[in-house]
Amino acid sequence: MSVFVESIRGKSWILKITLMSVLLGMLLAVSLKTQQQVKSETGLTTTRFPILASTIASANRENKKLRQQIEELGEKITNYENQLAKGSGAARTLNQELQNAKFLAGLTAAEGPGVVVTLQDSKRKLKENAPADLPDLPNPWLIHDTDIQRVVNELKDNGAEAITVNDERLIATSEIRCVGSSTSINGARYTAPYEIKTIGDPKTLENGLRMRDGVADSFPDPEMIKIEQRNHVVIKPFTGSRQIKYAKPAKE
Amino acid sequence: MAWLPVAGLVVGFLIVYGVDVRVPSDLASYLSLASLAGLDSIFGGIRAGIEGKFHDDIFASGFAVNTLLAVALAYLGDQMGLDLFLAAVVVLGGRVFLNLSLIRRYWLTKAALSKKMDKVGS
Repeated sequence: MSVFVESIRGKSWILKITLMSVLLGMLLAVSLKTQQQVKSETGLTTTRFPILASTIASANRENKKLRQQIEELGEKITNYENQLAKGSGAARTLNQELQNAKFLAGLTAAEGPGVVVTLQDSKRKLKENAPADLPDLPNPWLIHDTDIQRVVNELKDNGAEAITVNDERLIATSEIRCVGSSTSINGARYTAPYEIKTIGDPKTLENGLRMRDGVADSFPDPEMIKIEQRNHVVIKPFTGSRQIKYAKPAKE
Repeated sequence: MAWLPVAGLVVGFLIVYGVDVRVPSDLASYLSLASLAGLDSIFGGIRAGIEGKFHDDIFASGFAVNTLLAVALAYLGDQMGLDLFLAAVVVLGGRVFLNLSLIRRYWLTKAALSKKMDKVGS
């Protein structure tokens, strides 16, 4: 073995190889660190991303189909209810109350005049050096769950009768909650842009949002919020699952 | 002297590992390819050095060009929907094995030779 070592002692190429090894060491370290970072954020290395992406895509398609089924079945039920109520006066009154209650509960589709508010992320990017002591400040150029909540709140205050966010009908127990980089509404995940449809008096709704120092003014980039009055807005029904486990009708 | 490259590897690794480096995760897989290309160049360089055929320009350009080609293939593959990066991984990985086995041969052959020479001498 000493012959081998003798034959390569003092050869200049060893130094160049060493230089390259240093470079390689640095590359390996960066690679490793990046993969570790990715793993800590998402739980897997980048090689699995493409497989997961296609799984998610097919799950989404399935979801869409099922929601459509729910909507169609809901319409059928309403039809049967209406059919059954024909003839008897009492049944008709009861049915009318039922349909009203269903509407208020968000279970039936609705249409009428209203506004469509679109919230989207600003094209401006946060400057790379966030202050070192406050690295977790919310990015003002992105839409957060609180922005959607404020818009919905303002709409409600101005006579909104039915509201959907990205076609998710808001019912009494709907949440609009930040989940990482997306928002959970009725248990489903959505990301910007958010389309908020409302039925109500279009002028009142828009004016409420555009009040001085109101919701529309609170966005640093005016491009982030777009308000459009419409004569005809179609609001989809609630298609989530409703399980009542704890609540019972109160005994009088 | 022979262990200098290994020391270099460790030093380079430690320098970067301690620092907080942030790389956009899209580049992560391309960086891994670059590391593989670097590994292939080093082993190729070591083998060439042992054979006495080491050339500076070939060594340096080899690393740069192989890395660029590997990354370009990977990027093109992403756009086309084809796993072209596999070609780079297979070829570069294969060459690492090849070079390593040649280095091992030289090492063991010289060792066997030295043993014979010792025997002849005594």
